[in-house]
Amino acid sequence: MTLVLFVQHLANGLITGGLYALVAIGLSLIYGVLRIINFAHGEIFAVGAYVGFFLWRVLGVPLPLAFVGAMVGTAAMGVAAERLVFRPLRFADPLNSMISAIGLSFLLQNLILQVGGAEPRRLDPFMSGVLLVGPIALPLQYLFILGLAGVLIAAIEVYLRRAWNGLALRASSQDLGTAALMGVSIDRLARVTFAAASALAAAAGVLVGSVFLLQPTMGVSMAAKCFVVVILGGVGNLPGAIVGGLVLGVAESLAVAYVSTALRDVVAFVVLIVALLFRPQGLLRGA
Amino acid sequence: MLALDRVTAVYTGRAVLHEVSLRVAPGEIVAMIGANGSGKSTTLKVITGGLRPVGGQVLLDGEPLEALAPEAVVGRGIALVPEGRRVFPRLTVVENLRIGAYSRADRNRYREDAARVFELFPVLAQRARQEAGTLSGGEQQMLAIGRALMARPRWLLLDEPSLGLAPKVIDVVWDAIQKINADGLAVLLVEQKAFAALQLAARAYVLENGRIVAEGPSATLAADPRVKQAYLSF
Ligand SMILES: Nc1ncnc2c1ncn2[C@@H]1O[C@H](COP(=O)(O)OP(=O)(O)OP(=O)(O)O)[C@@H](O)[C@H]1O
Ligand SMILES: [Mg+2]
Repeated sequence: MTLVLFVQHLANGLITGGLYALVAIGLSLIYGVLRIINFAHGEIFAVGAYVGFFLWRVLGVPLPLAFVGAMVGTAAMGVAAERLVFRPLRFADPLNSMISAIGLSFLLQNLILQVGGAEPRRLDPFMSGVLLVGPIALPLQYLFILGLAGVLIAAIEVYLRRAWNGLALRASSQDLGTAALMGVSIDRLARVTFAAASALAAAAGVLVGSVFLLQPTMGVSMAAKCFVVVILGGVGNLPGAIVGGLVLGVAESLAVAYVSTALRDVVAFVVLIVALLFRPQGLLRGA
Repeated sequence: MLALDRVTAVYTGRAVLHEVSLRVAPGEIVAMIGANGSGKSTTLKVITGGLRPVGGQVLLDGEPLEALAPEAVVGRGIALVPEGRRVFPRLTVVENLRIGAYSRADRNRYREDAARVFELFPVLAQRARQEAGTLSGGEQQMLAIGRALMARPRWLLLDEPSLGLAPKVIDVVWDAIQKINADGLAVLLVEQKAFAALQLAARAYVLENGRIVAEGPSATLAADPRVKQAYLSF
């Protein structure tokens, strides 16, 4: 039944897309507010996954708690990275923080390799069973991931609209100097931004680990794709990052299913090139 | 009392303020007039922590301000309406007002203050949900003033609020400044439109190439032939 298969592929695509969105939002936030291109964001995602794995597998923490713990722990690590790696370079040439970010990503990758080992790891699914919609079978685990990604994205949107620091983040991404006149401290915002971005990346990491495998280098292709997503959505544009993530996830899933599995990691860059040709301002920016 | 005491400030080695002294007492409107590049904006930048003077002091009620970071100054009761308005273009009018209250301990009561800003500038109420970038220049100026008021400052610093506005709109802004002052705020009004500024202010300073070259009651300055020739000819 081709329609059934199509819907399955679409669902798969939306799930990976939701995970891309979670990681890409952080990348976009950090760039939008602090103008840092954080090449280590993929590794922060990977650290999140491994922290979750460690809490669950080694310490025996129940999976939902390990999920929350990974978000909190990785947020703390993101804040530390901001303080130690990026803050000292805030007023230096942007190239410096870019190179430091690359250094940080190597450091974290090797840290994971040392602590977590080279062999792939796997988390239990959060849920088992399938939901039958007519002839279509949707694994509950997939629905759960999509739902949770949706809830987290909604939470960050509400935070940006309602919370004082969320408003300050949006104001600062438009005019940092004037935001300071309002009493907004850039140091505090940098902390908030890195904490939120890292927590979202960690959430994505644990969710990925419950469907796919954990590997020390898992952050590399994730980061590459999320850069594509951010550019697709328009740099610094959060709704754009969400739409961009979903578009990429679905495009990948359909290309793999209907053309060739070899395409999985190529699709992102084909989509990027096509998007840059036709909508260089990003999917959601007015023409 | 807000006072600058012999403030000297430099940009990359070039002095742009030379021993500038001025003061603004509570409840006063004081004007600072001067030509392009005379150092007016720099003076305000020094007061609001954006540039640290190499000499002299900025004092608020006798306490030095010059070591404070920009984000700390507004908490001391000094709010700046920057040159060129600098509203946040992709925040709505209400959000621009809300961020103005960010520094306050009781900021969750910002709606009361926003209502007062809407009373002062009714046109902003009609635009409440509109992004600030879509406002006209005059409306953006009103919003920038409103946003500064949201911090409940005791000192309001205005950097060329009349810039690029039609005469009718300038009247609206001038009326508002008078009302704000009548509510007890001290105002330091920086202007190139010297004649208009001198009408509003009780006292004024004339800045030339980073130096105060004249000061006194507005009426006296307006009658001073040197000031007249240099600044009031248009
Ligand atoms: N960031 C900066 N770096 C170097 N020089 C600067 C900087 N900002 C201003 N200047 C210089 O300092 C001098 C004073 O500038 P300032 O902006 O204070 O003048 P102003 O009186 O506000 O002028 P205008 O009426 O045009 O706004 C000018 O010569 C200007 O070129
Ligand atoms: Mg100026």
